[in-house]
Amino acid sequence: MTSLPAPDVSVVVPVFNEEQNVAPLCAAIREALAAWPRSFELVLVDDGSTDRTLERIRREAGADPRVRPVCLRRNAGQTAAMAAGFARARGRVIVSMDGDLQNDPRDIPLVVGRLDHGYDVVCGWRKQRQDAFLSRTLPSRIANRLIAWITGVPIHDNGCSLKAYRAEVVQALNLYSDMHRFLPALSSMTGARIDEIVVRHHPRTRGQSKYGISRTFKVLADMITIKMITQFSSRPGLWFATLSLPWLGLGVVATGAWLLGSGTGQGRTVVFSSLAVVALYLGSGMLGLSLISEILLAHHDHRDLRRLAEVLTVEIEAGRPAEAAGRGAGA
Amino acid sequence: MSAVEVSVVCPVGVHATGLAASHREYADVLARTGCAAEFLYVIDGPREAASAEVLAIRDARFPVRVLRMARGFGEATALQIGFERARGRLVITIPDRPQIEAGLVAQILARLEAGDEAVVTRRWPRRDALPNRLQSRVFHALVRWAVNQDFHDLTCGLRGFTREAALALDLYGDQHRFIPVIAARNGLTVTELRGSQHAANLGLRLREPGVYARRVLDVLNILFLARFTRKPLRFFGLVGLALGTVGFVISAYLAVQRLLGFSALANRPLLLLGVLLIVLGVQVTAIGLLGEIIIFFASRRDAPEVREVAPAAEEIPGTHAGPSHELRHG
Repeated sequence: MTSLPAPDVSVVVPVFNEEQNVAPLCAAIREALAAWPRSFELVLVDDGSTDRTLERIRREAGADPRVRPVCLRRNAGQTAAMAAGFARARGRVIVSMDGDLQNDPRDIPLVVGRLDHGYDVVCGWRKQRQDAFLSRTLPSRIANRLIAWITGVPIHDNGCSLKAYRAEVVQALNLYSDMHRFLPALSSMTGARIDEIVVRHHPRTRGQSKYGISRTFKVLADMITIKMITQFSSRPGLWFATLSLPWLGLGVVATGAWLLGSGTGQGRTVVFSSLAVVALYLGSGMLGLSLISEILLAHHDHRDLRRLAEVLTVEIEAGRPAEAAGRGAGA
Repeated sequence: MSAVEVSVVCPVGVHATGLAASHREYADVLARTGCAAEFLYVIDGPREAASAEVLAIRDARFPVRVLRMARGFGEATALQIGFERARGRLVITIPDRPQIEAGLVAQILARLEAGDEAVVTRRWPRRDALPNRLQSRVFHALVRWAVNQDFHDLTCGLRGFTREAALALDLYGDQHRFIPVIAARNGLTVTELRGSQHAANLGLRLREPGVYARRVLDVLNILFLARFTRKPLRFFGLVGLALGTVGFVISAYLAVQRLLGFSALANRPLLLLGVLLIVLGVQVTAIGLLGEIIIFFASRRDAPEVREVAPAAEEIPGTHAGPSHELRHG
């Protein structure tokens, strides 16, 4: 398709039903990066749009070889679209961005520049959000607080699509369902160095917003998943076994009380026996889950889990002082 | 520079000590064997002190490569990353603290050259403090009971593998403590060599109680891994059947009493136990079935690798019907 050499930077933009925004987006990016010394490509991922988005993307690609169209057969969601774009990106740095022109392409050199300070991921922070407060900004703020609190990654704006990544790092992550929102948390909890930088944000001028307040609840569920995956994916058996211990302990104690107390007050016996039954049932259930997860893991290809650890492992030359050798402490 | 034949991988963790001295010892032995070796130190997380110590190592004879992981991913991951970046045909793993005489490396290499795929070592005779030896005895007795294999020193970090065998270990989590068991599970014949204990390894080692609790969990884990991850229904089915039968007997006893008019069910707490056991029995069996389903879908990937051998070879190691747990002493 394109015979250009691999560019320095790949800008990945997933678009869904944005026929009015494709041409202005390409123009804005081209204009913003015209004076930039780095070469770039623009990977436009059409997420199964039902309007004429794909046609517009093709027209852009025909006019400019730096535009690379990627087309999903059906609407697979923003995360899948991004992942498809990341997988096809050829640059050593990847920038992701929204297709609705609410992010400003002039901020691209800014986030990429920050990456050069030794970070693996740099997130944009829409400090001055130009969205409806009650339906967009407030839920987002609550979600971000929750994410920061649970994951321990103090990023203000996980939802901002304008981010820059070292390509290797983001390509090593398993992205599915709505996980793009947790990219900073996901990568940081696995050891990536992460930073954020304030970026501009514009109100939407054309087309329809695809978000609403309902996603706050989805975010909460996803977050628990993330927490579990990053912390326990290599030893879930231990996690479930630990969860089962208090229940089993309570069950044993209640059984003892039941056996010792049988013959005395009838009412108390029923209480203890019910407690014993519930606790033992829960405890054994968790223990069973622990064993199942061990079976799952025993038959899993662990190269998959190691991919990120590998990307984040740097080879440093012996004989050079430790400070000068790339990654410092606190990564 | 000639092509590297042997890669020496050292995972550097929390307990790393005396790296410079031990590097010299191993390098001396390797120099005597005359093989082209490289050293790979994999630092498990941003450990500044250990990094400085490793980076201070100077070696005129062998290339020293230092890898640093961004976060502590654990010894298992450190080893596996080392294996993946190793350039040698053979891989030797060495401990990050003095454990055993370095001279054993020559014997390990000889074994690997002779066609062995996995060689582990055992500190023998033990000369360290009695509590150490007792702990070790108890731990290994438990492991022996759990996996029915006779390994005497699972924690000794000096081992040798062909690179293929090392990559196939595919270690994760806390599995670095059971490498010989896992190698055997992969169908490799594991040879155990004896070597005298390092002079710096004789001190008393006592850990917090939590560590011992973890070790017990580890043993259970390895028991499960070695015995039941290939055929879970055999284990879960048995447990489920036992639980369900007891539950059935209890419930039947109560039902008969009720039907004969001896006692009403309402004030019999035992009923709850009977019901619990029946439900548990069904659930445990169901978990076993679930396990079988997982294994069914994973079986294609888990099929034993078949190596091509010269037509003259009489035996094809590693392609027996079951994994070979045979143990040889060198």
